[in-house]
Amino acid sequence: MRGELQGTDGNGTPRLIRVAAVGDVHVGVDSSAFTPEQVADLPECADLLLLAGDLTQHGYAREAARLADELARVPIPVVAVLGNHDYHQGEQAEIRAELERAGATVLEGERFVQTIAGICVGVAGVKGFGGGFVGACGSEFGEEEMKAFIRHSRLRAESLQTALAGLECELKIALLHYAPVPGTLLGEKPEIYPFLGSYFLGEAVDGAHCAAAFHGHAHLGTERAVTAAGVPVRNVARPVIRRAYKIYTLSAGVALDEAAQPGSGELAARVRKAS
Amino acid sequence: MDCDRAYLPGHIKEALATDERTHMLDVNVVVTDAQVILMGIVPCQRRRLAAEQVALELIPAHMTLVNSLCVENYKEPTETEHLG
Repeated sequence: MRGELQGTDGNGTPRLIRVAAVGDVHVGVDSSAFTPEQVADLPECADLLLLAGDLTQHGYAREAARLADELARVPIPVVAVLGNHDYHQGEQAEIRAELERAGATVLEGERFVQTIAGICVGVAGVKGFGGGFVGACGSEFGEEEMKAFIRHSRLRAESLQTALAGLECELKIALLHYAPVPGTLLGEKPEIYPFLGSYFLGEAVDGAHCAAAFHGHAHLGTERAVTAAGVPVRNVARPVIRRAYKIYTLSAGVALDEAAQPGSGELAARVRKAS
Repeated sequence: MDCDRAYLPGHIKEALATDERTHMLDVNVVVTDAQVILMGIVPCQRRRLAAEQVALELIPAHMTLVNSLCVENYKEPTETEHLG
């Protein structure tokens, strides 16, 4: 199999990358994201740190500055997306600048590519938005407010799709704040699912044959689910994982079963049916 | 349940989400005959007390507030998951 050949080094040892991921750290002027010990220990257990949005509590740049001081001491690449909290004061550009000052890469419809642990890794990230999931979602129809809500969701997902399409690497990862599937929302009230994620995001993840997708936002949700095409999705909101961060490993060059890939077949059929 | 009490959890949750002192969207608010109970996890004691203050400003005088919010203490992970 292609995966067996590409997923091992010359000695037959699997080529793995270790990813630390967490979302919803909600740093305020009264709190921090990590203890100094947790920062110091990160390179021992991870090659890459992903932050899945809601990095600040109130959306102030001064809160991001506090987080940036912590991230500046993290000796592995840090890739982040912002969350809804980070937009609350309209200071998202300043928040981004603070994180970048610390050496972090902040993605909003953009991509990060770097060879890490000998593997070319690509991360495409976007905050995303709500809208709901197939069979229980909003449409761009009716009042301007409703159309604007769903349009924003669709455009954010399209920016993710574009970013993913531009990734040329061995391992593609999607980093989001809002959920791409309803499976990781189990535990939340079903009535608020349309405010927690959108199937547009899941469709983008599947269309790009991602190795995994990480998101936050749903504090009462569930950690593990898969997309329609079987891509692992992990809700790493801190109240869900109940840890400073979680560690995941991903293999390079895993052969994808083309028959099981999303192509649009099954998912598109479901979408058409829903509409 | 009287009408005011029926909507009280909604008003408290809205205040916790929008008040500058809190901006908390995930606090569970339960109202009984005589009590308002706040449940959930917050990052620090200061934020726990801020939620209490915001809720106290909304509850009727005959009700008491039970602050059951827990302050988080997240440790490092003890296991690794292989995703494939």
